[in-house]
Amino acid sequence: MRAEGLDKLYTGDFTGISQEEQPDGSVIITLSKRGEGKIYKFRVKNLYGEHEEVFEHEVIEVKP
Amino acid sequence: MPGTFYIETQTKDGLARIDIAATEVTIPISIVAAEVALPIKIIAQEVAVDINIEAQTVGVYLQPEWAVKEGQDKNFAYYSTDKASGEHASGSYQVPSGKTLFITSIQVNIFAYNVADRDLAQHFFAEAYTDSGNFKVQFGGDGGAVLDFSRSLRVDAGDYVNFRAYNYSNHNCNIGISAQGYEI
Repeated sequence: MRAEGLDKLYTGDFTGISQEEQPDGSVIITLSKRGEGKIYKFRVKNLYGEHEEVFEHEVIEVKP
Repeated sequence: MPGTFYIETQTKDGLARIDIAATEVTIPISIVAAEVALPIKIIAQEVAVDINIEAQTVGVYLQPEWAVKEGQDKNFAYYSTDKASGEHASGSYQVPSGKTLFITSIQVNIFAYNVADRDLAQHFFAEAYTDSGNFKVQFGGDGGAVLDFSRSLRVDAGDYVNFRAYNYSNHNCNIGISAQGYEI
């Protein structure tokens, strides 16, 4: 099953995306949607690529 | 047959139905009320409409502002630290099926990784482009830049938009490239 945050990215179900490159070539992506009260944070390698792989994923509750 | 009609209604419910068939029609309308609902359907080769509204609140939004109000706005931020000269920060986004992305603004910021270098110039080169080749925006500067587009950059469904900002300084830098827009 694909990570929830990755689904949000692919369906455009967010208003903000922040992406930080990591030395190992992976990126840490933080997605948020105004009013939802959740932040989706995950580390992914080969984003959009054939060998796309999510290593870490967490959903952080925040004040909407 | 040319015709000019003047209609004035003063009823409790304020409901007036107008059905006019003529070769030329002139209808001056003045409405003063606490609340107004005015559905209008016009079919004609040429239409001239003058509207004068007196109300306590009237909201008129440009599309980007409306998109923010409706939660359709998109805010992108891509960054990377300790990049050597010639290296870049980058990010890509694929517009989902059935959507269209409009980019209204792009920004870059760059500053020296080492504190001792921060009084030096931090040159950069940046670009935003789509895989389809529908547009390519390139710009550069020292320290950062902001581009606001009078005409939005359009990215169609399935297409990728790519953002890159290169360190063109002679020392390592932290780089960020961000963009705003809306997706409908």
